[in-house]
Amino acid sequence: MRSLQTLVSPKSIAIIGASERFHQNAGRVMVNLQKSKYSGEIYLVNPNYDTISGIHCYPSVLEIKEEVDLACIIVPSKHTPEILRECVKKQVKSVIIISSGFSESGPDGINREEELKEIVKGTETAVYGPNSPGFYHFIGNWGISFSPRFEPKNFHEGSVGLISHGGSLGRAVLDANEKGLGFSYWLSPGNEMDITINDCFEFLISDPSTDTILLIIESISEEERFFRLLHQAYIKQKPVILLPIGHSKISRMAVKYHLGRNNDYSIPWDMVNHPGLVKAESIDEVVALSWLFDTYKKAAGKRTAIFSWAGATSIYLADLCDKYGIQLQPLSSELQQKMKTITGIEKSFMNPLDLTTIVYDDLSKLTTCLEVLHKSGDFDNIIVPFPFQVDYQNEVLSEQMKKLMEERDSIFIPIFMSQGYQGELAIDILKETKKPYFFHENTAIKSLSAYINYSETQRQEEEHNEKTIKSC
Amino acid sequence: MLVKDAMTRTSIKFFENDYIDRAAKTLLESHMKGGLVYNVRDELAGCFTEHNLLEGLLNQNKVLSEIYQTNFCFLNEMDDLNNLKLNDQEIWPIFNKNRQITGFLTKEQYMAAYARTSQVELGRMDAIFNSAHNGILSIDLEGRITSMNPPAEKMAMTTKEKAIGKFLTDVVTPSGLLNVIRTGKRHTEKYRVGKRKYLTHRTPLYDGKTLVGAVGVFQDISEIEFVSSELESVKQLLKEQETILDNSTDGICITDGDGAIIKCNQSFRQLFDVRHESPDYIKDIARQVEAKGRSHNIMETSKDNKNSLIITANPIKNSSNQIERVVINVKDMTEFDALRSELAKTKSILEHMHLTERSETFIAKSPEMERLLKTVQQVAKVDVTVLLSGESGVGKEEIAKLIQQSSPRSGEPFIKVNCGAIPESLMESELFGYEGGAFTGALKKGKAGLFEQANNGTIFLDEIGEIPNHLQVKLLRVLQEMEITRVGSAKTTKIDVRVIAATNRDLKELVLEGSFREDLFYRLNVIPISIPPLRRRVEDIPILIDAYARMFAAKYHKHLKFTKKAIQVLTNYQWPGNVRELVNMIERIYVTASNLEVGEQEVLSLFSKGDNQRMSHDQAIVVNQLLPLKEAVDLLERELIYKASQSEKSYRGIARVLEVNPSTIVRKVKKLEGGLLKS
Repeated sequence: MRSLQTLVSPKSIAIIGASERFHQNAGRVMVNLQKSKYSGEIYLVNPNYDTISGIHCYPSVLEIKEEVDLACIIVPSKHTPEILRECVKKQVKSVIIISSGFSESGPDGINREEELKEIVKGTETAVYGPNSPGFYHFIGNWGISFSPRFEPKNFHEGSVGLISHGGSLGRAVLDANEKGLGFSYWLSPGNEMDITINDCFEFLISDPSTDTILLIIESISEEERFFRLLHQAYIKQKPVILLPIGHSKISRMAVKYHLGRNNDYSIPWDMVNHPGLVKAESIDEVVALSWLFDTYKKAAGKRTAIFSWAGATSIYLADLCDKYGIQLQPLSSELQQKMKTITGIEKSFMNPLDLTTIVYDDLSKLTTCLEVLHKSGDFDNIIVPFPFQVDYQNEVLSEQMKKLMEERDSIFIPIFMSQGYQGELAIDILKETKKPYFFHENTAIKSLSAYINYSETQRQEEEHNEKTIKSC
Repeated sequence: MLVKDAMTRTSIKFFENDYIDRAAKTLLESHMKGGLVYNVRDELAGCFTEHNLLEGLLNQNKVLSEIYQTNFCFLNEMDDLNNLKLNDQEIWPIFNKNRQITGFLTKEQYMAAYARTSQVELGRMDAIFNSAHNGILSIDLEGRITSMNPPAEKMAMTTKEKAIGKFLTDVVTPSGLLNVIRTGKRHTEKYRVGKRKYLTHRTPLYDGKTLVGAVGVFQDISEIEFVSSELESVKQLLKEQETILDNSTDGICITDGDGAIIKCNQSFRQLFDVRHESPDYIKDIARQVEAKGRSHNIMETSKDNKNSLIITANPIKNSSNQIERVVINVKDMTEFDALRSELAKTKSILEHMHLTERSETFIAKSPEMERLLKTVQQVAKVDVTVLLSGESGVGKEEIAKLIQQSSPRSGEPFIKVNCGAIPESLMESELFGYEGGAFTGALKKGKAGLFEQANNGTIFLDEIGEIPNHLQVKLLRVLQEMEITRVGSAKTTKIDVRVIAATNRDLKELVLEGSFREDLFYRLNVIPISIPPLRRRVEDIPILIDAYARMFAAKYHKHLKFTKKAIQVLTNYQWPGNVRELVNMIERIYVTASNLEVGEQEVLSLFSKGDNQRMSHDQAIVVNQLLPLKEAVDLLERELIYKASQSEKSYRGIARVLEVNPSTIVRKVKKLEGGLLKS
């Protein structure tokens, strides 16, 4: 068990293998750190340089007089043991090994990784990696990364902590940062030779800035500990959203070559059943769920309405609500009456609400109805589909929703259902809010359901346990 | 390359009296290098090139007839450029297979095309040169290396770049090529360099009649030499095998497809008379094999000593699947027979022993159970808490054991705890252990709890729903921290245990009732496995009957046969007590059965007897309710004394009918504190 504390908050960082070739991985780690808001000391280590872009370069980490909290190793794998030994001697607290060429790359690599394990065994030096893409520190606007596209100054801080096996899927999800999904940390400990996924998980559970934890993982060692941690996250009311990958026979083989791990007996996730665990089936869902949790924290309640002016759309969404267990509670007679008055048509209105295309004639009917529904306080969540591209209607609806969103009485779930280009102005208007919007109706409803359920289960459990305690 | 691929196809016609300057302009505009000139009868009269035009312009000629070449021969479109025998013409008119003129080919075009094909040819030659297995090396008249291919580079342990231009013997040791340029004669030679052997052909190179160099082609023949020595050892092996064959006690014989003996060994010759030609008997066997296309076995008694023989004939097929050889093996079975009967005896003893043991596998064949068992196998490998649910008697403990046996912890302890059977007051110390002197009756040196005993292994918490409330919190803490605190101790101990919990109650229901903590439920329910009751998987009943019948047959030394009807009855029964009840029933049948055949009636009578026992109201005492034994005894005594007091008016009389001492009655009545009078 390793703590990640010095890894994520080092006072000084040494980049071992720093290089002038900024277009290559080794060179970019330094550039990416320079770009960031990291405020501690940066030391460069490489015996081949005296200086790199004017910064002094040490021949060895042992030559650095001051203490080194974090060393980042990015040198060819055959040199790593020697360098790690020096780091241990220097009493570096944490080491990130970005270099690859270890247990993911065959017998020689496995031996090399074993050698690294021997070196740090029983020492105070914790190793993150090897074969790691680094980590992002969204709160401090910095990170260790060799990515060619890395703009830490634009990081949008939030409450979602992401742990991913490998870099690619993690980065795909992190890109949602642009849309408004706020992160706290991204951790990806590569081959997990010392610091494991569980260590990262434990760190995020106890980290005060993280409220939601995302896991995109291939395999888990120490399963028992994982489930203990999962329960702990649940006690701390931090939802754990999981996208497990690498189940099929062939992908299990691929896992071996990716991060050098044997995944022959993977956890049968479809059987796993814990209220603290929200299982996702796509990265789309992962983003949708965590965006809801990040933006709206806990769900206020389960009372949900569908607001639409298109009949089939509202019916289809009602089907999906039924499928995913969202109850559409009946419209109060008072609201029904109000809808009749506003629209001026004799029609029995229900939930799902279909205002009909009468609103084409007078768009204020549309906006007023939405406002009335919102202000009634009868609903915690309002699903608002944009049935297809009709330009002006959609824009007006978007503007109204944007305005109402600021009042925060209910949660809006806007769904753009058109299968055309996703570039209409109505979307741009909602984008400005940085609050969740959806393109896939299934993802939207399924995620909303999981989001509501999580909060509901928590609330129920509090009630029950109170009852149990009283009955003791 | 064909002529048509290099030529200029054109239908532009020039005529004899066309002006030269106009013709020049046309050529320029249509990017042509020459033209064909026709006469007034539209016959080809001549042809001209740019060069002819230039000449004409310089000489101030006027019309094409002054400059064109009339002496020409045709080429065919389909002619191969490489095979053309060309004269000194500058331009050739071309016709196609219908002898229509389609265009012309200039010498320039010819040269360009020829260069292209040569280039390709050269590339191909180069490829051959470079990929030849043999080493090739050439020198010029001065003895300097002019080319060498990769195998030659390898053999000379150098590279082309380094070697070319160097004197031969500076690069390689054999100098035979120098002899060739000296004498102009070819020769062949074997030589050895280090451990390897080479064969070389050396040939002089001539350009026309002048000697320009020599080329050596050499081949590493170490492999061939090796193969020939290999052949030698194979021959040796063959000889050894023949010796083995002849010394084998089995008779062995190889025939061709028609049964003609090719080879046979000493033993075979002793068994059959093969002095002249194949006996018909052998031919017969070969024919049988031929007919069957696969091996053929016969039992036979030997003619001289009446020993039993087993004859096996195997076909050997060639690549086109025809029988080429038949190998006949004759074995004397006398000793074998003795061994076989011995084995049969041992087997029957062993089988008997097996049956007395419980089978290790879970007996089930219903699709639900098969699916469930597959899941169990999968879950077993993952170190995670499992919650088993199902009615009592469905086999929850069996599944728990199965999980443990298939898990990485299979070599470690498996501790079973029945939470319903441990008194509440003892449960904590039983589960978590206690320190010396923790409570009265405690052992001096303390005791390890069941969790400690299960360390590194698996703990099976049966009837988890019975865990009292205050221990639920403690249990959850143990599960979360993986450490325990013994009763009476402040020290915690780390443990590593896999928990399998089981219950026949609906835990979710208990949670709703408030008697089971929801958080503990969630923690245990990570992987829920529900085992269906026996009545929902009736396919399993016959095989369960079969398995347990065999077990009890061994135990009671009775071999009963169940009729189809009997099995039908057992299968149709509801089995509220599930597998456990079924097993008890089968045992009862074995204990009580007097016939060797168990029929419908026997089974039905057992069912009704069971029901009678359960439901009869004719009995003296009927228990309607479960209550502590002591309370029940008190109640019963009071009832009995009351009943007796109805007919008997004295303690003595009551004592007589109840067959006890009068003093006992006195004591009891006193203890019941006048309850007798009240009731």
